[in-house]
Amino acid sequence: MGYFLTILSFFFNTLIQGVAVHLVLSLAGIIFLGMPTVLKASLYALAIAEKSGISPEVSFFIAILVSLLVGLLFALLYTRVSPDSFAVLGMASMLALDALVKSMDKVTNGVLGISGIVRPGWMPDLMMVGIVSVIVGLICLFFELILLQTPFGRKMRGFKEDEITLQSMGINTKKLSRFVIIISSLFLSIAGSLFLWRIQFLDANFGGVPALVFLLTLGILALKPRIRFVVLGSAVVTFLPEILRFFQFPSSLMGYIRDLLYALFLILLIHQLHKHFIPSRRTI
Amino acid sequence: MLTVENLFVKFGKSVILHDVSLNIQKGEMVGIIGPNGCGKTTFLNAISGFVPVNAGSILYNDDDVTKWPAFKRARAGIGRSFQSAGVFREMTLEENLIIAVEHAHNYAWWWKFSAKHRSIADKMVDEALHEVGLHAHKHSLAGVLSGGQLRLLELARLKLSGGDLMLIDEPTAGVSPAMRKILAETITKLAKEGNRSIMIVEHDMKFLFDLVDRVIVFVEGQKYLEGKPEDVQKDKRLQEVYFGS
Repeated sequence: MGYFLTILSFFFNTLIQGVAVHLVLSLAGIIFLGMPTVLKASLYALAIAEKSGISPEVSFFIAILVSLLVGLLFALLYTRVSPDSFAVLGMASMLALDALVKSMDKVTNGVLGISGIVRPGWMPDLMMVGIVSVIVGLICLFFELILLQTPFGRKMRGFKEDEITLQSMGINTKKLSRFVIIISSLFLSIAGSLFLWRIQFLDANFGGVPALVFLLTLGILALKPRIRFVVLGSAVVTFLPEILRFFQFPSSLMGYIRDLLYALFLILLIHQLHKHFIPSRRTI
Repeated sequence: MLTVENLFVKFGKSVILHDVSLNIQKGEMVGIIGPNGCGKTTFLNAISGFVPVNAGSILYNDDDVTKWPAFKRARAGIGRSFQSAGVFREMTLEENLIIAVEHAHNYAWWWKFSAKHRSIADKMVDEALHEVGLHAHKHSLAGVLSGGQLRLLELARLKLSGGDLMLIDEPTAGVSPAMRKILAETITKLAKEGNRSIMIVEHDMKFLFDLVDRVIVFVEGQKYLEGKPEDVQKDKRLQEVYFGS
């Protein structure tokens, strides 16, 4: 039962991250490599707030607020630099935050991470974590389903293909891209909080390159502007590591082998789908 | 309607547009021709806000739009088509036009769920597609259309976007002779229907001279010659520009 609940929670958690990546990367075509930074910042906000004696519920809102602020910062930067520079900047932010949290021992507990994270009272066990993950996951999915039917959803798809044409139609693409990045950050934070409440420990290494590889894999699997691809992509990345159960790898290596598997899978996907992943944009 | 005064555009040290002034009246069709690299497209880009202006001013309906961003100029009514058709190739023809309709009419996010709004938008899209002869492809991806059909789709989108001034960049580029006739008819209809002003940059002189009220010849970023098509056509200076004799 424990295994089933863990997989179920993981799947729906991945689904929420899938919605975030689908919006920003697959639909809007923004190479937002700072996603793990947003995730890590919001997780640390939640963990630090809880450790300061703030209730889990209020800590959750603090985490959301932090993710929105970090998202806003990225959004403002996106409209000031070229898309390529923004991608590099996202990578750099990941390393910067990693160094920052590991060096701020007194606040973040350094490389040891933060343990003993408390779940809200109404989510005492894995069963409730699973149920909440399913409900929140479905709400996020429904939100995206509706969003895709709105003018905003269509503009977002147009943005990936031809930003100049959108501008020539009177659409403020700066505002549009900023909103996409911020909303994506919000979903990442929701997924991160549920993840943290499930495992109740914040590893200092979380939110690094492996998280980026995971998110990019998810985004490329769901390149089409259809919800079913988000579900499919989430299912693939959730169950992909289960292949490793058929091999007798030492448990100390399992984490690395899982990362290797995701990385190889990502390389394969980029090789096959690179034309759709990074569209050729019109220039004036 | 549009007044351009002493416009200068520079890229680094190169002067692309040098002291260009122009006036377009409502309902007028103006054609711009000139050798490659003479600044025709840059002129359209400067008017539509896609390149910054170094000096001079652009007045549109008495508003000084010189410093306005491209999207704001488009909202004010300056529509634009591009050398490579500005359509969303991974969307259906219907979706391409729906974006224009919902933005031009400021539809709320929920409009797709309202039968009344849906029927109004469908009617506008259907009419626009019928006009350009693309209704049979309504649910096809725009990416499957030919070069000429993409141009027609772009013109349909321009119409639905609701601008009063349309800047059309090389409409016949990559278009078959048969399709050029349809394009000319569509542009004429577009101009006459809403008493719109149209500025066309074009290399095909016959296409342009048959279509517009006034022709401007650009040479090295400057206005070299201006007049009615029949007068410009006879002017020896036009021969000099193109054949150097």
